[in-house]
Order: sequence, then C-alpha cells, then structure tokens
Amino acid sequence: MMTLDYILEAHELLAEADREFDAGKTHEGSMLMWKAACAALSAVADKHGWPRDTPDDIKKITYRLDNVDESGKSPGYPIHFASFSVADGFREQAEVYKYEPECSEFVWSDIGIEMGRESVKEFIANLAKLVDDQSVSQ
Amino acid sequence: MYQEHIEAAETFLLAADILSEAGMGMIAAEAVWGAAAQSIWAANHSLTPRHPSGNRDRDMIVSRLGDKHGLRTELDLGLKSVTNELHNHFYTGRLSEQDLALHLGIGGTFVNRMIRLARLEHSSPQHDQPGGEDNV
Repeated sequence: MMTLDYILEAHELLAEADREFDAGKTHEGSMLMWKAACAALSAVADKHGWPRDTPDDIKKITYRLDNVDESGKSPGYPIHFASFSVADGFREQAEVYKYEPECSEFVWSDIGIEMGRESVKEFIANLAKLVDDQSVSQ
Repeated sequence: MYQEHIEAAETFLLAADILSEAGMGMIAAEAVWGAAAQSIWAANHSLTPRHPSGNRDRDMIVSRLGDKHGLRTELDLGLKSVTNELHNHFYTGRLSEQDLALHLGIGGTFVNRMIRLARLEHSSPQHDQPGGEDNV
C-alpha cells in the first residue's frame, strides 16, 4: 500500500465510523476511530520509512512528530501524542469498557464521545496535511 | 466557592510539580486530576449554582467552554489526558515514565487553561445570573 492509500483508508474508516455511531453502535464506531488514526499515522511512517508494525511503533510516530526526548520532554505542546491518546482512548472504550461497564468512571459520556470524534477527525486531517505537504516538498 | 475552587486547583497543581520532582509520579498524576476537577468546578460555578456530578456534567461544562472560546479540541485533548490517562494511572500505574511526563505536561496545560477560562467566566457580567438544569 502506498502512502496516500493509507490516508484514503483513514477517511474510509472515518466514514464507516460515522455510520456506526449514527446507528447507535458506539463500540464498533469507537474501534473504527482508532483504526482510522492508525491508518493516518501509518501514512506518515511510510513517508519517512519509520517502523509501524506494533502499537508501540505507532505511538512512537507521535514522539517523532512532537520531538519528544527520552525523559518525556517536548519543546512544544505534544499535540500529536495528545491526539493519539484520544484515539487510543476510543480503542480502550471498545476493547475494555465494553466488557467492564462497571468501570463507569472511565466510560465516556455521549458528549465525551462527540468531542473525541471531532478531535480524532482533526488529528487525521492534520496528518493528511502533513503527508501532503511533505509530498509537495519532496 | 469559586475562589476556593481556584485556590484548590492551583494548590493541587503545585503539589503535582513537587511530587513529580520527588519521583512520586503516581500521586502526582492524581494531584493533576484533582486540580482539573477543581478548575472545572470553578468554571462551572460561574455558569450555575448546581454542583456538577458525574462524567457527563463534567464533559458538558468543558464542551460549552470549548465552544464559547474556540478551544474545543484543545480542551478535549487535555480533559481526556487527565481523565483517561492520569486518573487511570493512579489506579493501575500503567503509564511509562516517558508517557507519564507527557501527560503531566498536557494535564497541567489543561488546568491552567481552565483556570483562565474560569476567571474569564467569573469576570463576565452575566456570571451571577441564576441558571437552571440546562446551564450545567
């Protein structure tokens, strides 16, 4: 798969997620939000030749984008890492809290889900722009 | 109670810095959670006299402030960093040192933003008008 195919896949997954949320399938939609973010991050990794085979590889793409050092310091606000964490939160909502609804403290409200969907969409749009900008400059 | 919430948020945040420097990351994470809760309550105090309870009230307050001030995504990233990661870390210790440092920074930024928003809301002329259920 080529770099821009991953971006296309991310947009397709987002559209599918929207349909699931609209149908009231919160857990299915949440998992698709996570997959869409991973696809967009894979596009960035592919562009740079960075590893992207494991969940840890995917997270470390955000470290590279935010220039995070080994102690966890970043020269600016780590926007990619923070956005990734929201996407990973969707995965957790789908994988963990679906089966542990008693963990209500960590189960997102409908408003939390709505805000998170917007944040992940913005994240993916920013990653797509990053890939596109890099395409132009190379 | 507005001022008490502001002072509590600032004190929790200061404590988090001290605890983090002392290598007590798990407690620092919960201190940032406490600071975030207090800052949200401070902002809410200017919107309605009713004390917020539960995730949905908290999310609604942050969502409304985000909409009003054009900070919706920024506040969402910060809130979820605090609630999903730092508060969870207090129970599970699941964050690596690197991720913990990042989330403590993100959480601190969120709290400082919420304190500024709370002050803005408190200083606006309509802050002391009575609110109903819809104003949570």
